[in-house]
Amino acid sequence: MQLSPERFRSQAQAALRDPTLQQALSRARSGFIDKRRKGIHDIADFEALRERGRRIRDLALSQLDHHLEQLESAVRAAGGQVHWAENDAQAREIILGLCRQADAQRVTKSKSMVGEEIAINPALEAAGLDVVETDLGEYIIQLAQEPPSHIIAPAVHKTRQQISELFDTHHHQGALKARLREIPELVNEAREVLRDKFLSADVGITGANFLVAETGSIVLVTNEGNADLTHTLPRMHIAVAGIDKVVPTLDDATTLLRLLGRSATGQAMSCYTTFVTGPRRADDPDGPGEFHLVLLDNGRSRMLAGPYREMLRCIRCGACMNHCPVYSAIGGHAYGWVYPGPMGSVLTPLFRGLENTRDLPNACTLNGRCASVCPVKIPLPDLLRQLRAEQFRRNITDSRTRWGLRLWGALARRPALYALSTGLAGRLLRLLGGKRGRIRRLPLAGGWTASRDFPAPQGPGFRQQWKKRQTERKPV
Amino acid sequence: MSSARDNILRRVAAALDGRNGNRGTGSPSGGHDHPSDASPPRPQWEGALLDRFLDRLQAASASWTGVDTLDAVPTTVVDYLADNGLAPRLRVAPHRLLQNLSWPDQLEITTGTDPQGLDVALSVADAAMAETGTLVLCSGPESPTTLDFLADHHLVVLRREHILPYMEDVWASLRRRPDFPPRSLNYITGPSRTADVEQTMQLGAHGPRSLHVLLIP
Amino acid sequence: MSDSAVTRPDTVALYVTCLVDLFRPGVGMAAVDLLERAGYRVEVPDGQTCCGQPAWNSGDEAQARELARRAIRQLQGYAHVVVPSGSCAGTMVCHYPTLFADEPEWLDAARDLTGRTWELTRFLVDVAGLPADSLGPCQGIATYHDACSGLRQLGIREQPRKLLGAVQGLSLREMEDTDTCCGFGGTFCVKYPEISERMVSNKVERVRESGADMLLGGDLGCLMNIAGRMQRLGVPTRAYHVAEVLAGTADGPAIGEKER
Repeated sequence: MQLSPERFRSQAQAALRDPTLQQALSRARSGFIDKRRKGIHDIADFEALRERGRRIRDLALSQLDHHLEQLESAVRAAGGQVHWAENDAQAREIILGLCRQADAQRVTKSKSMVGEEIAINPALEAAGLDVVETDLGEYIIQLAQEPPSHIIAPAVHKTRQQISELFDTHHHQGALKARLREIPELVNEAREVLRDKFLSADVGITGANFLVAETGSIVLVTNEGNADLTHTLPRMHIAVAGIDKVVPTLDDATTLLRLLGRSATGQAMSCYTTFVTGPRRADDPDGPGEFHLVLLDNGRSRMLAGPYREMLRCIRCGACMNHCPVYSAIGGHAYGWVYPGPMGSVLTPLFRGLENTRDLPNACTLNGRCASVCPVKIPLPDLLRQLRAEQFRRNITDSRTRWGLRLWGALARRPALYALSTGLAGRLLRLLGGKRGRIRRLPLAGGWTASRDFPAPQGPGFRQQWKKRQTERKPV
Repeated sequence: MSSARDNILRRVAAALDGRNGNRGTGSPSGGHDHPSDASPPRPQWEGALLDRFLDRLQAASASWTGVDTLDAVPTTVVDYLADNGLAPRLRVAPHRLLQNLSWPDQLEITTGTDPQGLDVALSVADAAMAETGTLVLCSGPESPTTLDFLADHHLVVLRREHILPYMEDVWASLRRRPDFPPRSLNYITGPSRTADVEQTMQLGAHGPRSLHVLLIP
Repeated sequence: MSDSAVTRPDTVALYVTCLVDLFRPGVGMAAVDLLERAGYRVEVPDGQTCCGQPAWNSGDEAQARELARRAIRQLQGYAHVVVPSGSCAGTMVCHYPTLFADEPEWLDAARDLTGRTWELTRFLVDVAGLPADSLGPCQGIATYHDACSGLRQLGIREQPRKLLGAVQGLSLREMEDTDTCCGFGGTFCVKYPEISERMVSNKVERVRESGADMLLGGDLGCLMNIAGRMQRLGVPTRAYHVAEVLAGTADGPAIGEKER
């Protein structure tokens, strides 16, 4: 079934009932949190680094038009070309046009969330191109015909057994009978299969972790080295990135790189961090003959203008989802679109419309752990709350919640009525609690009592007890 | 009809200048108005630069050998290949530092970027940083990027004096070069790896399975 | 407002919270007792209902603002306002000023309240200087759940542990993931019951692993959630608000237990 943010509820329920997924999620949960915790240790004042990262991103965004123009000139000066796309359709058209121009048959791709956002793979495949994802996780889910479930670990929801089965089907035509294989064997097999693809690709498509305005460089961060083979070996390199990715200088990128690796995987530096500037030079022995940078707006300039600008600081590290107890209960697919977890619950409504993503801003306990680890200090709970307020203003909030709030407000504004009602409710609940002191099934609170007992109130209300105490102490 | 470029830039400008906008005031060319710019928060260490570099290099699963002189590089390479059970075949980058070395006859030396027979590659680092045990390699006529990523095993010659403390120092050093920035500037920290199968680290994903530094004076 | 309270530095206004008022009045009484032991005169301003948190977290800003105005008026003039809940105190301290960003007069009043408002354990340690002597008593092994709002909005972590360290007869045994959300989240737990169930089940598992026979916390919502799940699963660990243990009244029925 096609995933959709509108079906969050049923997708989450399905995820909770999927034992294999739950097994994968519980493995990932502690792993990512421990890695980050250890990884930030070598910087004495990590908070100061976060603050610096926030300032750098804010400053870059506050002069975004200038930095974009500077970036464009620098890319051109290095012999590259810059293309601008207002939306996903334009981006697809540009990229498809470039592939045709290169007379391409095979395209290698290095994991790109913007690539997912514009759904480039189906567009290229529909045009008859052979598109191969080269990040191992991304390759696995391409074989499984699934979208990524995590922004830095796209196949985090897959177990080794499932990967063994996929490789058996696609590399051995089922001859291995999906025998569970060791991890080195699986990695080696993918290496061999993908090596041929790298060597025969006509065009390589990458995303960009950052764009550096002063030099016109795109920054690519990987551990596998797949991005480097993707941009070095084919005739043409196309990089696609959101306009929000620009930072002014190499030193700014340096600070953000210190935050990115530590926040994502606990690494002080990823294995491969590459600054690509333009195409192959006249005397270079290798590299692509053409370099194209596709800059995508797709709603980002609108975000810049509105109350959600802080979300554009995001550097896509995944720390928020790694630390989110909701994400770790249901995984990334439940969110129904490209960006999952806390950052996705803010971004998806902004990209896809609040009326099509009703659940996302609400499916969060506002526990604040995401904001406490965000490398650029995005106040994710505040932004989610803001989206809820917008839902309320635009009458998107579900009617049960609206009625509940209305009733509660009517009582809370009238202390005498409130005291009367809560007093009555207290007595009723105590009655229902009987001798057990708790209630196993409570009408109108089935969501609670489906899995939890409901405690009956302990004696008469506080204010009643307090009044009694005051009277006893100060006899009139 | 206005172009996508103009539309986007106009919307961005409007967002920054509009009622809710706040356009930054820092130097537009550099954006260097960061607070307390003197010392960015970054790892600190006690002890020598070299020790830090080697410590971090090994933490990233790379290895190293100290070589007394440049001329001793060929014998060190031969020993390394023998010790690791590798065939006596080497792809050498067309780097000036490696041009006048005399290679023993038993070693088959190849050049160029042909992926065939690219088992072990030897290239030269432009710099290194102690902060993270990272090698810096710039693409160029003397340094094909292909070698650094397609080889199964990557050997890198590094001059001791090229080890710098931090990435900021690397930028300051490389900026002085007339061909800066190169097409591909690679920060390499250990061999290729992946944790995409059950979050279990596995070396040798797409790039080299091993990374070995030959440290020369 | 009680005129006698105005500017008297030894007077504390107790903002009891709706959950404590209705479900666990003993927590309020324990808070009163602790504040009096620390040398403060306690008043409970009349007309308290709800701080507006449910409305604020559900996007109904108008209602949140209205309830905030009421609370601000009720609590005017007190040198200290103490709340036995991290999430209600957090709403007042962190969110009231946001609510009135566009109303300068109310913004000043909200900020003024912010400077005087304390979560109970934080007030006892950081202002009142407890524990001066022993607290409790309470026999048993306890584990402490860091409720999210108190922890991340108000920085409460050490204070309850410091106080619990002075309780005669009590030993504290930390569970794993003390700072992971229990899945309560106000209306979240009834809007997304299945997700909440998984989260609270994880929490109960950590409680169980700790081997503690008591679960303590500073927020009644979380405690009712975890206690309710433990009771449904037959886990015998008993849940109390930290104030009850500190005041030595945790010998009575735990949350969701029958009167003895």
